[in-house]
Amino acid sequence: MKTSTKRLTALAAVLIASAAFIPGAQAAYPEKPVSVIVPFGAGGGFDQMVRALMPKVEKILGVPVAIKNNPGSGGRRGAIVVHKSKPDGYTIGLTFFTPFLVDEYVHNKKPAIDYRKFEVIYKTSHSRHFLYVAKGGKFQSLKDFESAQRPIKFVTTGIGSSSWLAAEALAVQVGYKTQFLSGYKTLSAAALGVGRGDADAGFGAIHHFGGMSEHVKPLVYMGIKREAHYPDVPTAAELGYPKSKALGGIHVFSAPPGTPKDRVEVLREALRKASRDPEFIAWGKETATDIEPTEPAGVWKEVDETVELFKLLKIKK
Amino acid sequence: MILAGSRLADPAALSVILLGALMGVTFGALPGLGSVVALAIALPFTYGMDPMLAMFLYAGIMSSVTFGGSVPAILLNTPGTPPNAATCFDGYPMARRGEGARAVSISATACFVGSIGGAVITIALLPLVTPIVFAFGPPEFFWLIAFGLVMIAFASRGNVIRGIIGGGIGLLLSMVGYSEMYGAFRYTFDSDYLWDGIPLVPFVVGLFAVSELINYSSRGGATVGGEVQSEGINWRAQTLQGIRDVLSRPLIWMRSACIGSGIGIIPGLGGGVASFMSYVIGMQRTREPDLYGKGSVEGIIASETANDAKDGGALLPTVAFGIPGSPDTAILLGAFILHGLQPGPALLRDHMDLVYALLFGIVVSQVATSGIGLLTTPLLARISVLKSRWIAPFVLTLVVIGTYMLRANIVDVGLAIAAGIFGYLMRRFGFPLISIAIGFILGPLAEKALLQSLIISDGSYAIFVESPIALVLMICTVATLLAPLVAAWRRARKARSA
Repeated sequence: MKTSTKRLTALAAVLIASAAFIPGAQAAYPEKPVSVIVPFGAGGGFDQMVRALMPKVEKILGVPVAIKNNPGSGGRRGAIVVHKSKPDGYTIGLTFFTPFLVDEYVHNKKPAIDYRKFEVIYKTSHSRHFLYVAKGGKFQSLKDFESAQRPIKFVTTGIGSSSWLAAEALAVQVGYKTQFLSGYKTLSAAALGVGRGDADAGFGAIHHFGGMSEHVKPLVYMGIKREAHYPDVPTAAELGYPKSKALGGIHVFSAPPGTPKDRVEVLREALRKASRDPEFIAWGKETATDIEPTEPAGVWKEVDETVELFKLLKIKK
Repeated sequence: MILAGSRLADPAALSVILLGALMGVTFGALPGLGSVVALAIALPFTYGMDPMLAMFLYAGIMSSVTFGGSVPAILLNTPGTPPNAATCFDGYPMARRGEGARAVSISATACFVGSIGGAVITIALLPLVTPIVFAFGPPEFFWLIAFGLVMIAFASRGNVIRGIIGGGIGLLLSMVGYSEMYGAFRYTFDSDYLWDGIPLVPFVVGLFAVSELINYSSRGGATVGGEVQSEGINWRAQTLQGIRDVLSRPLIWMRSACIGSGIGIIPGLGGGVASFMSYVIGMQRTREPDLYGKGSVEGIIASETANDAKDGGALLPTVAFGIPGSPDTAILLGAFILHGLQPGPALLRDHMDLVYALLFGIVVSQVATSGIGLLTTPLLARISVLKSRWIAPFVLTLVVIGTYMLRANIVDVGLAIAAGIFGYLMRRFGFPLISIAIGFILGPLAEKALLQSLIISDGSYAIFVESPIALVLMICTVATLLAPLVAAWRRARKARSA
């Protein structure tokens, strides 16, 4: 009896030990809630996208998804939190690469993290901006910008922000000079600055300048094709400036460096399916967000295109 | 208006408002949290909700946070939210002399009249929102803030030099972080924590609450001062007295409601500016200036009424242009968009019922909050007689949890404690904390408005006197600066002639 108990115990120990080496025998993933870090505040454009998408992801993954806002430093803080999180597939984030690219290629400063080490999961969408001007103001077309005898004054939330980049990137392509009226808390407040006549122009999404529609008008859309809400507004590509499509709010989800590939693939498949959900697509149309499901290779290609654009800015400086 | 009003009879609407009020009071009373966190938590739950019910919930939260934050400000010198810091200056001295229930009751009543006043003023100003928002550009903004900064001299009455030094220290500390005006990092010492500057909530909570905890623990006893006999205090009589205190001073709360609503309308200012500006203007206009900072009834009315009235005002630019008037309305703006509503003239034209729903929700929630607040005041005020050995660990726990939860960053807790030690030392050396807070809150706004004005005018200083509003604000600022000098000269002349 004693011997058989010993044998059974030994057999159980061998089975347990060997189970760890059998891939299929590992614990199913995910088995607990997944946290998604949003690098901007609640209620903003990035946050709204995540809140529209995550209920779909939750259904696909079968576990709750907790959305955590970690704003600060133009999106850097949230990305740093994701980068430094435990690479177990239970913390992912919406990583906005632009500020790190600005640090590296515009300010010539070493970025706080090696953003190229992120495990890019998937790009779901892209919120592109419009160039808008004051109704009845001095500048009513891009031609007016080109022929201006003085720098064009742009409103922006800050030097290095997405609205600043858009103005600088279009300037190097079109050939106008820029001046910035910076420091607005939000792009909506910046639109008020243009409506009031403090500056000539600004960049923003529809929800930023839409409230000022009686005072400002969109001039050019930075998207690939015309935006349904403003079908008469040409795209920058149509006007001969296609590089601007890389700008705006890029919605890329990433996991911390070193996250197991199989877990990243589970998350990627969930995002792939969720970004094709009819409700999410309808949300994109309603909010003028381009739904652009993109695999990691495509994301890194877009990052490289952005880098090329930023290098032009550095040369200009 | 009728549709929004009729929805208030719906039990679901009332339940949602009460739920919002409960959330608001709780989040307001916990130092470090506040309406932004409460609204952000509520936001995803309202996704599939009827938009009007969602507005009632938001309104319930926004309006009740102020009162919630005033309770620890008065009883423990620990502002629940940064705007409640102005309430500490007179609320806490009242609690020290055994009048905690009276002070809490003043706050509850002031919040009540403030929210009604704010809603009435907001409805009255609705047709004027465009001219008001457009009239306040960077130069007008600059003079308004400069006026507030000059008030540091008043706020530190009898201690002007230390007050100005304190204001300067606050101003310097506010300069830390990334300057979006220059695209440069200032005094960040290569620390990514300091990129966004010294965070407001942990700094203010630490400056007031933690410094008071150190003071409290070293002194021992309770909030109620040693010479006051707590056994003889009639808390119920004090509560009634608090209500009478507010109702017998209609001019003060009306003025404060106008200041609060006015500041609420101007995008980018917010509750901190509203309560401080109202407080310092009250201090300048009062017949009893010596009572300010020592337990003045008027001081509490001024700060709390304005703080609550600003909610209605801040709604105007949010709904009319999609420009948030305060941090809370920035979240509200996200909620509008989440419900498929684009703020702007079209919203005012097509969904005015939702705007009224928010305003009515604010008033109903405040009625509930103030009512519950007044009923529980005699009980709450007893906190002020609890011994420090019981209360200090409790407050410290609240501070630690509150400051940590805001951004889930443990360094924020360390900063709050460091700010507390700094605040304690500043107090010991006679520097008024109010001047540090005013400098810290208003400094960056003044700098930004100054630089923006000069960029608009291409470097011409004439922009600061070109508009009538800027000119009037400049005259007020200069007059305020000169007033103490003129008064001193008059006194000297009188003395000579006598």
